[in-house]
Amino acid sequence: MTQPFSTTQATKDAFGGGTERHVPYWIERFLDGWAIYRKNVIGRIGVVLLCLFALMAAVSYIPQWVNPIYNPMTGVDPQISYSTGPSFRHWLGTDNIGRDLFSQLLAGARVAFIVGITSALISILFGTTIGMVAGYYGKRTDLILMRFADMVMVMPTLLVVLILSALFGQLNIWVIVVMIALFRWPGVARVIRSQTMSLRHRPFVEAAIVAGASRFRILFRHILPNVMPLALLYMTFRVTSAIIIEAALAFLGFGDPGTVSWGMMLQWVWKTGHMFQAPYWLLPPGICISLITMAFYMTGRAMDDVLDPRLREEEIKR
Amino acid sequence: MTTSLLDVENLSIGYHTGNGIHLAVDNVSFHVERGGSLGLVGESGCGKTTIGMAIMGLLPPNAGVVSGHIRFEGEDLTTVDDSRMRKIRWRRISMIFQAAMNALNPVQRVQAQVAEAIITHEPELSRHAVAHRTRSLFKLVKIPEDRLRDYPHQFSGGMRQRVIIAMALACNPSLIIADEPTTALDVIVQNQILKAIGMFQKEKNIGMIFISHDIAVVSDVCTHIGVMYEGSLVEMGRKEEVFYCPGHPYTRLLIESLLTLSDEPADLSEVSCVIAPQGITGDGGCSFNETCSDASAACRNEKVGWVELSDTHRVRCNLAGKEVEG
Amino acid sequence: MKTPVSMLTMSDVTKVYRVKDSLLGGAGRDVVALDRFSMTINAGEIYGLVGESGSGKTTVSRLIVGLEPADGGDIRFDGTKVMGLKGRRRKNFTKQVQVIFQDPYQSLNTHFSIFETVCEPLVIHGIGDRQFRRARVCEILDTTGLTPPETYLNRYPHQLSGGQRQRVAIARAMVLEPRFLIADEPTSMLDALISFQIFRLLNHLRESFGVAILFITHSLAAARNLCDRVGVLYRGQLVEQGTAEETIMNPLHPYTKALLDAHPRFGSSRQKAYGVLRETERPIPDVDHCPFYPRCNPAMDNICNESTPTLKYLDSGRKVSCFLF
Repeated sequence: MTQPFSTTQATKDAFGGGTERHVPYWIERFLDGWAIYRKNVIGRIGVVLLCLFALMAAVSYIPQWVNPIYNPMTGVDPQISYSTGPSFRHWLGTDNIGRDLFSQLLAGARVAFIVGITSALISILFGTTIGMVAGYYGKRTDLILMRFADMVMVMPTLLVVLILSALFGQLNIWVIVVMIALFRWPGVARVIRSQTMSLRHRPFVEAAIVAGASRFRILFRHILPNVMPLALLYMTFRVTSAIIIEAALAFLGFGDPGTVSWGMMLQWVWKTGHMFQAPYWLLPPGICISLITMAFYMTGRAMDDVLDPRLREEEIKR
Repeated sequence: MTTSLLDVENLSIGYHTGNGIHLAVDNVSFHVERGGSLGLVGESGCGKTTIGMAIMGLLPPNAGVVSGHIRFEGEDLTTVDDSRMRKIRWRRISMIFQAAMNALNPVQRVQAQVAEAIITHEPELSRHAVAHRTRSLFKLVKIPEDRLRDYPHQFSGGMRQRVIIAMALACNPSLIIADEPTTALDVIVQNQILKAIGMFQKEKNIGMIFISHDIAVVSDVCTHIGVMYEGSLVEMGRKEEVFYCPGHPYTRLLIESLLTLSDEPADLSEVSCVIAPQGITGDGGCSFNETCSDASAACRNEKVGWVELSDTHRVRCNLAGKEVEG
Repeated sequence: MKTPVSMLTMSDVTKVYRVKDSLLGGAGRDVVALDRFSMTINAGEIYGLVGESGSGKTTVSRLIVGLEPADGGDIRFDGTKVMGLKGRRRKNFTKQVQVIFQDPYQSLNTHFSIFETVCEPLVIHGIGDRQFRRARVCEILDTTGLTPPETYLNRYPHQLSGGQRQRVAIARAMVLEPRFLIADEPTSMLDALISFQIFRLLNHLRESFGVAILFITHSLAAARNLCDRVGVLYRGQLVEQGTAEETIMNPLHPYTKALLDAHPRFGSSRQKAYGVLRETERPIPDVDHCPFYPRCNPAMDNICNESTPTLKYLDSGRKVSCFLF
């Protein structure tokens, strides 16, 4: 076995997956998973809906760029001083001070994504770390962390956030995001913990222990990649609940007054007394909230199927 | 001339995969006499379990018989319909499964479970007759009378396996398929179970197909042995013939690698032999050529056929006959 | 003949598992996995530990490498205590003692390529730079029969067969050049042909690297062919120990005889059966007793059922734990 070793070549071969045959395993797994996912009708609908909402969020910058009167927050049509229905100038109509509802709806999609995904990410980060540590260390650590998780879990998120915002006045959107995240991690932690506990005694983890690996290495190199798919699955469900909580807060008047979210739009409808006079104002944000939470939920359900080992096995047999 | 109990003729079984049909069993023929026992040996994934499932009519939905016939007591099992198959299954052909330990209902007494197996398939029997047969079955598999009213969890693995055997015998089948019945058991228990199987098989004159990866275990119970490699039968013959003058290089390798308790320990000094990939095997060529030390280019490309070494012993290797002559 | 240098000693090691009876039992009961178990393994030898499932043979390996703490007794490697090692000394110990696990489908992380798997011990112990590690991994893959090694580096476990996976596991265990290897039923999930190749490989590793191997198995035949010495374990107690040849050709303890009787007869030159196993088991005595008493035919009443036998040293250098000797 004589092979010339140039560092570059060695690096390329060992880490770059030199030939096409050797795709990294996670990519292969992702493609396999996608193949199963694609067969799921619910999952397909979910993904299509999500793409539509993402498109809405992406184009939300365009209206105000076309004309400042379309700015969802500050843009006021000077010719209109009351709420109007859909027209060519305002596709969905305007609110009572002449702001364009369509551009508000687009901006709401952006806010929903930001709120949903960031707070879900943060809660997954917390939940996964705490769950892994509790599951791996066990004994006292586990007991303390899990009792703490139980305490957080039984707190009614909405109520606590309401009380906090009543105490501190109007809250910034990012504070709301972080608060939602801080209250929603225990469920994730529980699931990740039980998964970690079963992984801890698997031979490949024990082999790493025998090889002298540190706890940090075992947790993050061996256990994390194996719980990651589950954490991602839970993320989709967390996104749903974060969006709903934010909408509820905003509707109740505790949202960030500087953002245009769907919840805020609903609150404005209600506050200005247009609840039953302006369906063109009330319905779009309501429908959007329902659809986006449904889309995330459907995606999650379909992902659940992908991760289900029984279904995977069938796929292999076939 | 008596017809044999089970006649399998040119049987091929395929699994539907993403890219066409994958043949798990390729052109296999054998027969089992009344009271005879055939051992099917081969490594995992060589198709031996698939054959057992096909005879029972229990192939998974994505698999099917591609060609060939399974004749059981003169009836072709590949063509009968479901309701007829249900009548044959368990009454005429029964099976001892590999993971049999999980096949028992944990909340039912073992006696009741065996009785239920009888009642389901022969509802015309009286209660007294059922009870009588249950008792005699337990006597046959040597479970003491005072343990009949126990629950499965009170039994050890070996005892549970005995209950399973009793259930398989419940309806006096004429053919039993035992699929690795002792794989999960300890040596001592395995020996006891093998003895029990051998005994009832002789006593009741039942035909048996014994599927195992362990050639030594098969030699303990069976009179005939078929060796399988990658879906095809490569050697077939009486136990003594296959063991003492194996014709196929694969069988020879299997027997060589069989570790025994003989005086001389096997030669482990040779540095691990590595399988070197060779050219693509041509249509009908011998599938063993990659591992075979005697293989030539001819083995890869020429159609491989059966060579008769004796009336009862045949080998599927083109080199086998020549070796005997020269 | 060289005098053997003892490398690993276990003396009077006891391990008790507490089983919680969830619903019916109420209080938990104790399961004794190892009962005052003693064993010595010499440098460069292959020691076979034979026993049926549940006899405690896997517990032995887990206690040695510290996956579980022992409840009593002493384990020493090169004269230093193994239990409770911490930090640098534990790392130094793991460098010298490695394990090959039973199930090659479970013991490799599916997310690691073969290179990452085999390289991991080197990374953990901070040995060599990237270039050295690659060369070392190739070398060890070559030794374990995965040739040419370059073609395996970027593959993943699910692309390999069971035998190849077990070779990868062996390569991972050997990459640090340990002095002591524990092989815990390395072939129980593999076919006969592949098992044979793995045995050859283990033998080859011993011959060329002088690594001592604790070979744990349920098969007397495998122990006979691979090992220098064997110990027979029954219900957590060592019942017999001696050279592989003598123990199997001329067993002393009734349990060893029972194991030999049960071994498939074919290919074995031994014709006579010892007939030590009772048809019906005797009731288990309430007091201390020989663990094999209920199943033992030649057992003596009033002796075997009234106290536990201790390991006796016979003149021939063998040990047996039975009142008959």
